[in-house]
Amino acid sequence: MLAQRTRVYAAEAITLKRMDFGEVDRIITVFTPEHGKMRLLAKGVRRSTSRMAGHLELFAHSHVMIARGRDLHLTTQASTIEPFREVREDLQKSSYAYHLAELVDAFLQDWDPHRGVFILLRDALAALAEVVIAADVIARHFELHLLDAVGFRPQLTSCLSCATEIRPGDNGYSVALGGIFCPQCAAQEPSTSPIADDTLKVLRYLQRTQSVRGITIRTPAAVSLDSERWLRRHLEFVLERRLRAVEFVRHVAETLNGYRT
Amino acid sequence: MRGSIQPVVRLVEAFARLPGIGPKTAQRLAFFLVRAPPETARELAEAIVRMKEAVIFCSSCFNITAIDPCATCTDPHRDRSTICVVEEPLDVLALERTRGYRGLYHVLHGALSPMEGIGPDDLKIASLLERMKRGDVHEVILATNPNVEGDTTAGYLAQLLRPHSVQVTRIGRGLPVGGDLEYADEVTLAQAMENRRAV
Repeated sequence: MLAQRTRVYAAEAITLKRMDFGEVDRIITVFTPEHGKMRLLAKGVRRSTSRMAGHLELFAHSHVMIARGRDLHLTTQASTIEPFREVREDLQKSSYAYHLAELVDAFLQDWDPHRGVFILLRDALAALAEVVIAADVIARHFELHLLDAVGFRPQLTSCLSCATEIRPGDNGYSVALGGIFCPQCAAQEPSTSPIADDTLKVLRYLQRTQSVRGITIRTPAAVSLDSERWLRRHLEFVLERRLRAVEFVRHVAETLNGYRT
Repeated sequence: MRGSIQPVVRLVEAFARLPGIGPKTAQRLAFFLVRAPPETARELAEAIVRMKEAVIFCSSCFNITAIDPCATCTDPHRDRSTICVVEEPLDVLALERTRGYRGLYHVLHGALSPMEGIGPDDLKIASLLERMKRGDVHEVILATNPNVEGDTTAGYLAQLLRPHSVQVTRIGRGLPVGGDLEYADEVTLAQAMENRRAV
């Protein structure tokens, strides 16, 4: 690859996470369409006069110049393409953005390019910044399409056992086997649990809606909660670990609801 | 560290546990002390042990102190109606250097970092709300760092403080002294324009 030969190369990047390093530096984890996820040393960005700091804030979509280093690559320049300011300044939106960033960080390996996931993340952040689609619906759409992109697409349209088309009824969902079972097969499969028709309908709708901008539904609170629970179980089963940011999403939702009512 | 003697290896490992110190720096520090006079090493060791014995956290503001409550919390000349919320004890030192703030502090000991699993229960948030109940606070200044984690923490605290009848403010945002307009990011520049003032 050209980037691996030349000393300095350019990339588009979305900042996923970062940690302080040394006196005034940070190690930032960015996600790029061409080179995948990578950790970069951003020197001096904790100084108040840093020219790069603001451009490398969490969730910012930026152009970065990257210099190959001995261990870590270094950012030498950064300029913002889209800061997603509305996401950063809104507690609920930022809580969901942390969740999306955590998922990308957890599912993708370093230096594993995936342009589709990059576009998915960029579009999800853009949708969060607007106020048209509910943040939880954006997150569910992102989760389903991320699972699809990394090879864990849940089977939601036909029975995993007998392949018959799924119709409303006493269907069962198996997180371990990655999809839906018809009522007859669900009765035989111990890893299934009953899934509500409305929840399944929403998940199927989001799975077949390719672009987040194409979403036109609003979901009742109970269905939202149920969809979140199913997908969270699915994601945590695949990752074999608990997701951290979802706890914060829940905490923020409770805090906001507590004072709205 | 093959070939090294055990006490030196132990010291190198102890230094390497400190933040920002890698194996090479740890070795350099250890070998400086090998060559230094015995009193240098003794003074350093005593300073560390005495600090750990003497320094505690103030039960009111959670800043580091040698006496509880700390000197700031008991100072009769400080404005008790204003509390400035910061992330770390070092932020208190930075604000005190300005000599422009005469209120009290509250140290959270971190910022919310959902991806690292640092949630509200890991910070000194409950004790801040407890201080609100005393009723003598009129303003809470949220002086967490001006980055996404700091904003998240400030936004969360602002929500929690809503039921308490206090004015909640966020420290000013904009361009730093010695900064450069040309290199400023869009958000900083937009905030600088929004927060402009008459001269």
